[in-house]
Amino acid sequence: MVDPAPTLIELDDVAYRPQGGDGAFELRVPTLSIRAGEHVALLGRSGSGKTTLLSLIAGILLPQRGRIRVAGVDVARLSDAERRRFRIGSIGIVFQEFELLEHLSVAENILLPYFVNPALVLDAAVRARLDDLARDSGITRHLAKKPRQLSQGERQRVALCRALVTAPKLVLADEPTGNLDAKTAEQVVDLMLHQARARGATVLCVTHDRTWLPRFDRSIELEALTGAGA
Amino acid sequence: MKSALLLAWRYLAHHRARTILLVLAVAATALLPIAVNALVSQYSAELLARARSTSLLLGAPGSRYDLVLNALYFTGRVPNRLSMAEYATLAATDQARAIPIYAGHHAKGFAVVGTGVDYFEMRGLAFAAGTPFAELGEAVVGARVARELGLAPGGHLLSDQGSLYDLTMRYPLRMRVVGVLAQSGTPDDGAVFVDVKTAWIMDGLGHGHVDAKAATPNEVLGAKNDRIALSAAVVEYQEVTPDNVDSFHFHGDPDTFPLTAVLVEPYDARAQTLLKGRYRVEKDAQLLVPTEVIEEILGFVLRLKRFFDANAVLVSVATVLFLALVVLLSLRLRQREAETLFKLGCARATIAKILGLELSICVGLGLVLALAGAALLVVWAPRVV
Repeated sequence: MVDPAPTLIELDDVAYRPQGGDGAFELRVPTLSIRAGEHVALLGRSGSGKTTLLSLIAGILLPQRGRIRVAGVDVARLSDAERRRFRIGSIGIVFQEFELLEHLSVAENILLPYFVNPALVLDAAVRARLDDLARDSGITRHLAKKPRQLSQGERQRVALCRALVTAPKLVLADEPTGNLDAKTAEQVVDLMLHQARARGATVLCVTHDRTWLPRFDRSIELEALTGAGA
Repeated sequence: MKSALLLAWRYLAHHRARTILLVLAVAATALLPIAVNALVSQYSAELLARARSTSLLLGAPGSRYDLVLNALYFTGRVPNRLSMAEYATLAATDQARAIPIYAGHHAKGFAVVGTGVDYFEMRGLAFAAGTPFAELGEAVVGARVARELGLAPGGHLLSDQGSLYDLTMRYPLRMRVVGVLAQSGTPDDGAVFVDVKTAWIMDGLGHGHVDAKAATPNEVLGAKNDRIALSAAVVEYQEVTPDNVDSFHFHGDPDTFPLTAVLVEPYDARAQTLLKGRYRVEKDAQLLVPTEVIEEILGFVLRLKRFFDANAVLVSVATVLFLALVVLLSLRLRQREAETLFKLGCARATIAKILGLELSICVGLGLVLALAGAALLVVWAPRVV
């Protein structure tokens, strides 16, 4: 009998209400558990709190109540600096709008986490990983170009490489195909899951498109998770 | 730090036009105060150095400023004339070395300074070529004069005419260049030096012409005993040559011949004190300490500069506010970029550092540009002004 993979993400009785908001929105997650290596799709209607949930897991936002454990670390109990270091070392983030810096080359964009975090060391191993990721993503010939010279799909591949270059345990993807046509979106999702699987990374991906669900190990409806849809 | 610098530089290089505008704004604001300060400092130093190298200055009563500016820098209005008798009196005291100065004429726009050969030694001037003047009509030119007029020993230079409407004016004197001074970085570089007697020839106090006894009847107005009055038909020589040098002579009492100043180098402190005391009660001459006069002039200049400095401060404040506005607008535009960096694990302090470096690079480049511009101005201003 094979031992089940350990739990990577664990939320317990989490509640989050934006500070300064009108109080109408509150995200409540009684419980959530995702195992290491799992590829999970997160679904939900607009405004239901999918991005907020990703931000809580990434330690960008802090819950008012409850516990969020990622790779065994209680994210909410860390100091700002510790949380930032934890995010750098353990989590890769893919944004819907790519969020590439136009003034940097593709290679520099991918290596951006190393430029902005003194804790990360940009050594030969990292450069080798950059080459591998670029080759696997089919963007090697674009490494010296600026993002504006790339297509939307290529830009999202660059963003994906940036999320994976630090070899994170967890990839959080916030509607990575939202700005792509169907064919490109399919390529990007396949690439993301393939790259993550090849590196043993867990994926939690927000999506509206149910077409991709068969590609994931499982999917979670946020409304079902929070009880809002009940 | 290296990475933050790289990111800052990449951003500035990408937004080239915006960066250039910012750099130029900083440079334009900084250029004028830096240049004015540099120029005032340089001019002050040069003026004072020249003044300090002259212990005392004797001149006719009148404007002290005109006297010092004319005698030391060969510029400004020609001061009241001092008679040769005053020079002779001073020289006879045996308390100081006295060097006559007669500066009022010009050649091709450069000051012609009548003096003695002692002047070169007193000023420590070296010769790049040729020798000091020895004869009437010979000239030694400063380094800048030689460079701009393409003169060398053996060349010639015409003195400028005064006013075209002056019917009594003298014809220009053609001077022969016998020496060129080495560059000294002083007003001597832009002057033409002649013997004081040559300057008097330009005044018409001395001249050369055909022998009166050999003059034709229509060149003679009348004759009484051995005195012959020549008419205007007699042609005066416009150049002193070995052939006609003997015909040059001076009319009038040499004691009344004019000088504009006398450079006075007392032999010792006691002599200096005695001379100062003596000329304190003198009515026909004044003895000045050039340093005091120049410091007085610089006092006016520095007072004016204070107004300019106040203006520069206001402009700088306006520029800083403008930069602050640019930074604030930039921060607003780049909020999303900053958020991305934060989400990727960048500390807020690092983001601030990157933005600070961008601003510092712009300000730094602007200041470097302003310094370079100011250096160019300092080099070129003396040629233009």
